[in-house]
Amino acid sequence: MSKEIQPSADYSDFVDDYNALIHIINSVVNKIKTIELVKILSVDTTLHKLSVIPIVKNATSSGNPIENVEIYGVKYIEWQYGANSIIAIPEVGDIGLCLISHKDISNVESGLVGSFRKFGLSDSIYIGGLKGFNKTPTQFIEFSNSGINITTPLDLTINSQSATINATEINLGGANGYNVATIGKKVTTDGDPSSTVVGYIAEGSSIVKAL
Amino acid sequence: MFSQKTLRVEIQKEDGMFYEGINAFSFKGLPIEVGLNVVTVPSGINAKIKLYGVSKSKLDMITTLKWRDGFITKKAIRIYANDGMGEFVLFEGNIMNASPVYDNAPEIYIEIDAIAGAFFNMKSEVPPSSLQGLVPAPAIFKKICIDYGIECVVNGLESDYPQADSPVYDESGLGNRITQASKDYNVYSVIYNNRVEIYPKYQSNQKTWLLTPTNYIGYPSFTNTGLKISTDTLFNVKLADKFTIKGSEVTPANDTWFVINVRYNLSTKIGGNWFITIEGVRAADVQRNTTVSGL
Repeated sequence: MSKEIQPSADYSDFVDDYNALIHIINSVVNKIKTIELVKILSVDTTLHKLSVIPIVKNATSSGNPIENVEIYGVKYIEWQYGANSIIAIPEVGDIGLCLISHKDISNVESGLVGSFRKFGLSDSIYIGGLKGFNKTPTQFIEFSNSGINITTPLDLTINSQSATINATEINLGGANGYNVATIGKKVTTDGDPSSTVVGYIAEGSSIVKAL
Repeated sequence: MFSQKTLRVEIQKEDGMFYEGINAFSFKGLPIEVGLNVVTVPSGINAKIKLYGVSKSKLDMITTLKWRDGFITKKAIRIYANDGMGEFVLFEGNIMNASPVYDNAPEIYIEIDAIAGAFFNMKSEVPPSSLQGLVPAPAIFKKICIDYGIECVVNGLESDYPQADSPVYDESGLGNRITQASKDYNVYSVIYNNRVEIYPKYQSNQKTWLLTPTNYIGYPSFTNTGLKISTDTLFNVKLADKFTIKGSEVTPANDTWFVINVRYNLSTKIGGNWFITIEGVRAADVQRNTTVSGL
């Protein structure tokens, strides 16, 4: 049997009807694509599409690798429910997972399949990075047994109509930071809580800074 | 009209030799039977050839070829036919299997199963075929053929074909890739002797052949999907062509039909067959008169 025609076939597949049937079924089932590990090659933030390349190569029966090629028109997700979302744009070089659609979703805006193709690689949706294959995140929200950690080396902006923090202690400035002064707290002559009280805080500021 | 009908079969090893200095055999003047089935992928055009009167040494070399060369595309077979109008290449492809048949000894023959595609230098281990953006069907078929290093013939206008966005074909093997693209784009594709041809389905502007009681044999017969009719003239009928029957006593057959299958039954044995059977579906049921876009 020719390698270029059916690389997965073995002579034993054709000596018996049942073996042959199973081989045929397997060859059909193997056409069903589910998930592909890919690397992002380009990002179009206007059309919200990526070009990607699979990172795992197929091999011939003799073990020779078959090169992968760039796949265009891949959509990517944004974790969103209603008007609520976590926004992060994929970047070139990211390695992650593509889910492959059963139908042609290139024409999804019209509600009609774009063609009759099934499990086309360009009908895949990039759903995010694969742990251990990407650079260490510098901005993240971490949920752990010890709490929630929001980290950024850059500016952190919270936009809100009003903000409420319910906490018995608010610490600014890191591990050795200072407690926040609030309305009603006492003011002493030298900052020592045991010193002479000269008054109480009557109004707050819109800006709070660590010392 | 009586005419001398001949068949000639050539078998060639495209790399290496059968034996020293000989890499091809040609058989002519022998009793030969050819059953040729012209159909779209995935089956593709396939042939069953019976060669009678072949010497024992050649019989052994041909029937053991499968063990000596694993590559189908390196085992070429060509069939030339002549119905009195001149010899032409009827089939060019590759031997899938060749077996000696001793059941009716001393009338021994070689039975050869072959598939079309004279792609002796076709590339193997080809990366997926991928294109960017909205492309018409011919573009991806051409891309697949270029990737494999073979010719692609596009019939009809590009506007006759549907389009698809950023297609990717990663199936292994030319036939699998062409088959998948044909399904996706809903077009006919046929692996002919040395090329891939694609056709828009059921287009009104396809070539039409005229069949009358003077050039067909017997009566048309109906099938589940349409009709069959036979002729002893080797028309160059292609899949996706149309044929019009006129003057048949089977009056419902007097209509126009799209060709979906052509079968050749040719024999140079005494009293052997020599006809082709064309199967069609009624044009009025399937014909597309307008340019296709999208699906």
